[in-house]
Amino acid sequence: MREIPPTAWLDRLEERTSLAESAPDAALDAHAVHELRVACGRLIVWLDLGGWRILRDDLRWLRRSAATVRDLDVVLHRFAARPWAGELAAQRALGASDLRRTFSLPRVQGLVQAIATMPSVSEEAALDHLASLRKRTLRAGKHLGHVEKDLGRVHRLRRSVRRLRYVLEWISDAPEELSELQTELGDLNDRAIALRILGDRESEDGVAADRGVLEKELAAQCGRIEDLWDDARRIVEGL
Amino acid sequence: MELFLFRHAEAEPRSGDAPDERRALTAKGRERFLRAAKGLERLEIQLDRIYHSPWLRSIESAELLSLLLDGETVVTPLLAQPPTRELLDILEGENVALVGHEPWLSDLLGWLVFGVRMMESDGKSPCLDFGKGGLAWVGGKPEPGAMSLRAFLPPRALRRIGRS
Repeated sequence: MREIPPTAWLDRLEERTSLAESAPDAALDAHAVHELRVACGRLIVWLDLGGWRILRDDLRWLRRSAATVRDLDVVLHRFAARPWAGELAAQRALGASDLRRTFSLPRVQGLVQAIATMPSVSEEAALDHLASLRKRTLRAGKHLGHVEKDLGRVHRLRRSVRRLRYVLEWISDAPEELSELQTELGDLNDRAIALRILGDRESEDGVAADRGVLEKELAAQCGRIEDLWDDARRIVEGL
Repeated sequence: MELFLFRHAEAEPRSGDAPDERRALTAKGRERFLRAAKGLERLEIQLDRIYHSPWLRSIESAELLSLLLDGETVVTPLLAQPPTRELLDILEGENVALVGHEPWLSDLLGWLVFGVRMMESDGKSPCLDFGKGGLAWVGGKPEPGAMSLRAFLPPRALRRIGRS
């Protein structure tokens, strides 16, 4: 049986967290922050495959540390030119400074060192994990027809599909249908985040109109996700 | 704070060029440490935080100890070097475990209880016999000289508690 080392995503985690506090702002751009969070998520799944309880809290903590900046990036990516976005850009700059300080903490250095010492996961263990995750994903998608009434169901499916995709990609590749669904679910989550942040600024000029557009897009996206899930479900059932 | 200092369980011996930090626990070390953890469970000890070093034998020992955990684990390289003020400053929680290595654990124990560093210049700590899988339990404020020694238990004693 093949062995699965953490190397691919550990290298990216190390690369992203090796930014010194003095690094220029551009070094911690939206892509870098997003990739840091993805690396944490993928390594959490890798630990799950090996049956490890340890180090997951450290990865979750690091992922959370980047959440504020990532959420602001989601809004600024689309609305940076709006008059009301200036304060969000300033908050983003502060968040990025905090995040760079976090990178210099011993916990982050220890995390990278620790994962580097760990033994590879066996493909057999990964396949066992895949079987249980497959069932969980099918359960999460079971009542998707009610998405407009309950976004919680979509978020449960999103988390499940993301984990399933990561497991498959640790083993080999994820089917295109699943990747496409996960991308759409990720976009939906970005819109939900943008709506939340804009909700806190409802009284500012132009915010209500932008929220209205996002809400309409979100509703349309729920419909697309149902269609994509129909295709992906058949693939998941066959795994 | 109740502070439980654990030395990692028995690990594979050093071999060739293999990095020291990648030495894994032996099957015997794993089994014995798990029984010791069950001994602590029998004493109704519950941990709200486990700090451990990034070395594999400490990671694996902390993993076994996590059966006592209702909280978070934290990895820190500060447990793979002589103890520093920075280590004491990061400690949070009421019932906290540290999983680390000799001679630094003995040094830390002496520092917390007596306020003096016990490590000699050659890096050895002859005053304490901190066996692999052993536990020193101290309580109080985690400051040099401010903690009281509650128990210093060899792994065998913990295993017997688990069995009884």
